[in-house]
Amino acid sequence: MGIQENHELQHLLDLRALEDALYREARLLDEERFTDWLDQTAEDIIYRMALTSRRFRKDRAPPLVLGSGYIFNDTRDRLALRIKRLQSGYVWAEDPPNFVRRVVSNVEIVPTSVAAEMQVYSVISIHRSRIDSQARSLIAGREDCWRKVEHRWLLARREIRLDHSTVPDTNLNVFF
Amino acid sequence: MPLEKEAYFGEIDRSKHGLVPVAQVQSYKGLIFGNFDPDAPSLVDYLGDVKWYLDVWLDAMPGGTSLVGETQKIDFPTNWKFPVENVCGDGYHLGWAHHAAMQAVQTMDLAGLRAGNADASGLDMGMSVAGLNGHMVLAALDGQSGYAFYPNPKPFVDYLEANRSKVVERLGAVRAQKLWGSQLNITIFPNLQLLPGLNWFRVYHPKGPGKVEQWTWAMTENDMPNDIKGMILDNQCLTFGPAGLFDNDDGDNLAACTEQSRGWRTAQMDLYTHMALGHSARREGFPGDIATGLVSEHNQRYFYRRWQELTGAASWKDVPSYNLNRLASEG
Repeated sequence: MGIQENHELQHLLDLRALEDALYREARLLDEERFTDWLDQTAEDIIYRMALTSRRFRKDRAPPLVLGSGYIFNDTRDRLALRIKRLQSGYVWAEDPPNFVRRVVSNVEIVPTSVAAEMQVYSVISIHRSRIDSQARSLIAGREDCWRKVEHRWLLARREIRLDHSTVPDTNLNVFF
Repeated sequence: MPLEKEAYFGEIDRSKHGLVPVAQVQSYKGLIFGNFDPDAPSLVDYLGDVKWYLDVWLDAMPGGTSLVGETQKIDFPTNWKFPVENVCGDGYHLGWAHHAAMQAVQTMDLAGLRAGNADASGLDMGMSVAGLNGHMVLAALDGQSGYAFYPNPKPFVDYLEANRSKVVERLGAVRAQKLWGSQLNITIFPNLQLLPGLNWFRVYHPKGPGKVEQWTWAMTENDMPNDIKGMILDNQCLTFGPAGLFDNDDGDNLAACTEQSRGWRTAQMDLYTHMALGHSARREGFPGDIATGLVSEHNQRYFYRRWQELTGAASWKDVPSYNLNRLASEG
């Protein structure tokens, strides 16, 4: 097999491995295996969900001086803090455990100028069945950077775009 | 107006179908209020002596205050009075409902804010203030506990100490030393809450029975340096934003309270709110009827009392007005 074919094969293998990584993290989170999920992230991960607002198309107001603020603005330490809270046994909203199922779709993987990093677009739908008949559906778009470190793909950056102008649930005790 | 002649046959009296004017628009130190009722009291009278407490946030520093960041909107299935009640006076829920969050983020060991309600020491470190026409304040009195839930409180404590003498000049020693920098929960009846310290500003919009939309902003003093303002926005989102470590405890409790109260049998019961009933008094130097500590149902009782007074009144003339234990200087 020539160098070109080898390169293409490697690229296909990377795409396959990245897709698997996306599905695996969805399953780990559904199963509340938060520590295993965190293990699939880079030390310097930036995990964010910006606050947004709907504005008229003609609205030319300048951006806010201090920025919009973030629903999630997490480093690895802060993700660990959220996990510590969730695992403490004192988060009453999660006890009994809720039925949570993630569907990941519209996966698009784009090479970057850095050989070991890929830009990954995806859509996540989170179904939560909670108190009695209460069920909620959260939809978000995600733009990730995944980095290959010693044959493993790690999540290095995730920008989450929540597609709800008003959060339709009493909490966001879920990772996207 | 498009097709006024063709579609309406020129028969519409536009002067009768405009927007309804807001009968009264008044502002108090940067907060603008509108009211559709021309007979409602003036804003200054409506606020009454809670202004004395509001000024600790709105007028401590010469530059005033601003809301920062985008609006944080969350929709949840609860009676609108529950979240108001939760914040206006309920220090009892802190150590238990927020046990996990407090363990995770509390950086100052302040008496009275112990996780798990594990001990009763320091319960008298704060006060519950009511008897102010339905407005209420829950206040710690240490001058810094507002920043007890910041990862690094030092820049905030430094800011407070660098400016405290200025606040003494503006508001006097009692407010500058005991209230400015302390965790304060200020409720403007019925649905506006300001929390200096945790630094949020919140309005609850009732959306029909058992439904509320909650709008929250981070709030800063304009004299704060930009890096401190940025840390406030970030920490307010972390603690009381839509994915806030604390706020994510409250929503489900309040939704569950609403759901459970709908039961046929439960709906026939009275709400028990007797904690510390009969244990409030005048406190030298502070307006209002004051119960000791952050743990009591003193404020909740005044909240529901005001609700009853308003829903039972045919007009504003029938609504009692009271500002208990006024300070001499307040007239």
